[in-house]
This record gives sequence, structure tokens and C-alpha cells, in this order.
Amino acid sequence: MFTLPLLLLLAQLDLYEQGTAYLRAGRLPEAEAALRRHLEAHPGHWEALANLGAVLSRREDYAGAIVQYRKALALAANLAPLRLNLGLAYFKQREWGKALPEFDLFLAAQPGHRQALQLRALTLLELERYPEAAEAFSALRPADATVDIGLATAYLRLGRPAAAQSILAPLLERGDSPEVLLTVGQALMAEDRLEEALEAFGKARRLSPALPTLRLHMGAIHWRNKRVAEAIAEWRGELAQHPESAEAKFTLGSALAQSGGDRMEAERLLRASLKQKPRHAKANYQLGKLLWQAKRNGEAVSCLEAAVNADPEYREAHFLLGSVYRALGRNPLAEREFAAVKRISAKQLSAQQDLFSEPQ
Amino acid sequence: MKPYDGEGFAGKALRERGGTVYRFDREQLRLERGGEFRAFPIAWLFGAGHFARTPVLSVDGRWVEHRLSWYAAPNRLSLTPGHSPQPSSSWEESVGVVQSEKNAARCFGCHMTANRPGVHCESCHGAQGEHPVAKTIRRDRSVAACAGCHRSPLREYASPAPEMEDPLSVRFAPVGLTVSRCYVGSRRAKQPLDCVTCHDPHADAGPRASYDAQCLSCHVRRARAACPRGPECASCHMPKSTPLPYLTFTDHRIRKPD
Repeated sequence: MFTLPLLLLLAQLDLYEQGTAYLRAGRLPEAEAALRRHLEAHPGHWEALANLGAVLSRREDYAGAIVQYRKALALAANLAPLRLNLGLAYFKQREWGKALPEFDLFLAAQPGHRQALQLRALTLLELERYPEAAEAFSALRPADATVDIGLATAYLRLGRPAAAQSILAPLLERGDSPEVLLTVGQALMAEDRLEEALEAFGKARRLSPALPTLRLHMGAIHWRNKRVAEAIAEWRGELAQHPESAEAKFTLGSALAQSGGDRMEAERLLRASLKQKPRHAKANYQLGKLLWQAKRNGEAVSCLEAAVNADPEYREAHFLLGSVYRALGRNPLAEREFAAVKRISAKQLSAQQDLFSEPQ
Repeated sequence: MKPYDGEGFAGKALRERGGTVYRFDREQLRLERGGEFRAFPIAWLFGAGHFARTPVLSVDGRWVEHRLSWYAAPNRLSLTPGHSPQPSSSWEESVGVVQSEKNAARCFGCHMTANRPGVHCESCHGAQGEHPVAKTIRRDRSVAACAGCHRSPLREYASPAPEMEDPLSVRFAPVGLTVSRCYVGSRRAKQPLDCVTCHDPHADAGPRASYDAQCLSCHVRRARAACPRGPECASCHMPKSTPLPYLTFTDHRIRKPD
């Protein structure tokens, strides 16, 4: 005869088994319910915590998944696959700065893991650490189109459109992929071949109308051609398709601010983008400029200070911050900012002079 | 602008950090990258040569602004303004920046003179049929006409001191001039300050002291009493600036010295 506590224990273990089976079968709500009930009785069961994390991740509740993975890791710190899962959840949550150390910890245990290496490279790209991203993608080649697109994107961000084009040309020959067309369009844009870029984006749109960032780029071409209304329409479209996109909010907000559009809407969008990316130097600068133009110098100062803190080499932000300080009568601070403007200008000048030498 | 003849370039060579070597003769650019050599014929030289010249190549039917320019003052080659200060990573980047058809038309439209496309009589005086009939253009339109090539500030935001915000803005005289107190304050005057107040559009710029008369036509009493420095107003009130290696410009924001 079983005693009552043992029966209860078996019943609980059944819940874990049930939850895991539901997870495998893709019945996610049932898996979540079973695992949560199991964990009420066994809060220290790290496998159940890990599985619940996986369930929540597949239900796109990445914040919830992160909580469960962290609890599991507190109980089983050396379990490398959990690091990868946690990194992936951060990645999906667009918390790149938190994802990267998790990938690094995982890769320290499993150095050659291609998926982790690829995720790490993509994360570096998102963190705008382009030289490291280019190196990470290069190390993965030859590989699939994702790696090549990542490497080409890193090259584009590094201001090397020709290098990007050389990678993308063979991809284009293979067939029409919207992601490839998007990256090709960006390479063409970087070379100022705007109409060809627009054509590439148009093809991408026909294949994948809601491809993220596509309409941002299409808008940018219109903007550069001074077709302001068309640019704003594209950026509104991007934001409607991807309401979570901080970049779309920033771009549309900046455009409205610069084109004499609705300043209240511009301010709202810039503030919304900064809520997601508080250290976005350009968004802080644009908002600061908007507030300065509205003679709200007190509020402008904090935005411009955030801009120069995020990017200490941001000459325009230093200059405007200096001007605002001066308007507020804070002259020593103004002089400090104007000195920064001069320092950055001199630095840029000397960088050019160091580039060349007489051949031997 | 003139057809490439090697002036300033022929016989010169430069090594870029990263290893690319650029050599020029009277007809072409010879590039060396990773032990491989390629030659590219050069079509044009942009710039009058007083300050600098930039080669323009035709590659596969497209105009390419070369990565290197010749600078007159040191008589040496260096990076063309606006090109990346990072070492070039491909043949294409070493040759230069491909210009779109529209951009190329703009380049030729300003760098070519007394010809079409380019700066010619009707560029300023307007289309007048067989021969320009307007002897002069309206003064209030002269800045806009000059800014067609020499650039105007962004309409949405006129910085009070553009040279501080962007030192390269001194390349574009109207940007500084149009925020100057002299310019803004004279808008309602009988003879407002504009480009042709000082510059004869049909002649090269004169020596700095030659502009004192224009300054003193307004500032005569106070300037003579207050200025301790004497002639050449522009040397203090429109200081020269070197925002790019080997290129010095007169900052056209007229102001009290810092």
C-alpha cells in the first residue's frame, strides 16, 4: 500500500511529465498550467523551471521566460544550454546588452556551437559593434544567406558598401529573397544609387509586404529626394505594421520635427522611442532640438546631455547643448561644450592626415 | 575643370594605411592592392587648381569621384573631402565614390563654367532667348543664385554659428553669410548686403584688403574709432578656417572676433 504523501508525490510528478509531454506536443497553454501547478509544490525543480521557460518563450512571453530561466540557473548554474535559452529570450526581447553575456557564457562551454555564434554575431550587429560583428560573421562563412546578409549589413554600417555588394551579388544570383533584396537596397543606397535601391525595395515589398525596416528605407530614399510627404507616408506605414519599432518612432518623429510637421506628434513619437531606447543619441538630440526650438530650454538640456553622454563624439549635440547652456546663463558649462566641439573637429581632421604615407 | 592632363598628379604616389598604393601618370591612375595591379583612365580634373583638384573617372559608363585629390598649398595628394577616412577595403572603394546620374549632373552643373551643363550666363540672368537682356539680376536673388552651387543653409534650422556646429560648413559661404548680423540687419536697407556687394561674379575673388571699402561703407565712423587693428577687416571679422587638411576657407559669418 502506498502512503498518502507518496501518492501525492507521484501525482505531482505526473504533472511535470504531463507538462513536458504537452510542451513536446505543442499544447502550450496546457503545458504551462501543468508545469506551474507542479512548481507550486516543487519550486526547486530546475528542469521544470527550464521547461516552463521554454513554454513561455514559445508563447512569446519572453519576460516571463527570462524569470523562469534565471530561477533555473540559480539552481543549476553550470547548465550551459540554459544560458543559450536565456540569451535567446533576451535576444527576442530585444535586450541585446543582456543577451550577449549569456551567449558568451554558453560559448565558453561550447565554443563551436554555430547557432550561438550566429546569434552572438547578430547581437553585436544590433549593439552597433560593427567591427566585431563583421569579424564574427566572417568567421562563420561559408554559411547560409543569414550569415552573408549579416556580414553585408555590418559592412554597410562600417561604411564599406563595395564590400557589402561583393557578398550580396552571389546571393542575388541564387534567387529572390526579400531579406537579400532589402540588404542589396541598403548597399545601393549607401552608394547613392537611389532609384535602383527603390527598385530592390519594391521587389522585396512584393515578396514580403510587412518585412521589418523595409518601409523605413523606402521612406529614407524619398526623404533624400526631398519627397517629404511620400517619406512620411512610408514611415507611418512602417509604424502601423510594426508598432513596437523604436526606430520607426524615432524616424517619423524626427521627420515631423524637421519638416515643420505636427510638433506635438513629433515630441510624442520621440519620447516613445526614447522610452524603449533611452540612450539613443540621435533621438535625444532631435528631441532636445525640438524643445530648444520651442524655447523649452530647461527640458532641452536634459535631452542634449543624454545625447552627449550616449555619444561623446556627437559634435552637433555638443554645440546645441553649449548654445542652450549659454541661453540659460550657464556660461562655464557652455564653454566646456564649445571646447568639446573644437576637440572633436580637430580629432576628425587628424584622423584624415594619418591615413596616407609616401610609398617606400 | 579641365580634361585630365596629370597636372598636380603625374609622377606622384601614395600608400594608404592597409596597403593600397595609388600611382598617377599623365593619363591614368594605377592601383596596387595585395600584389595585384589595375589601371583606370582618368577623364576630368575638377577644381580650378588654386586650392585643389579632384580627378573624375568614367568606369563602366558611370562617373566616379576619385578618393584622392591634389592640394595646391602643400603640393601633395590626400583624401578627397567627404570620403571615408577608413582605409579602403576594395578596388571600388579605392577608385572612389560612384555618383548617381542626378548627382553627376549636379557636379558638372557647378564645376563646368561657360558651358552647358554648367555655370553660364543664363544660370544667373535667366533664360532670355537669343541673348540675355537683363543687365543685372535682382539683388535679393543673388544670394540664392550663388547658393545654387555654393550651398545654402538648411531651411528648417539656421544655426546661429554654423562653423561651430559643423566646421565643414565654412566651405559654403552662403551658410555663414546668411546668419551674419550684417546680412540679416541690412535686409530692409536700400542696398542690402549680398554676395555681389563684395564679389564681382565675373571675376576671381580679390585680396582681402580690397573688401575693406565695402565694410567701411556702412561701418565708417564706429569702425575707425573702435577698431585697434587697422586695415583688412576680414582678417578678424571673417577669420580663415582649415576644416579639412590643406584647405583653408574664409568663414563668411561676419562677426565680432571671439
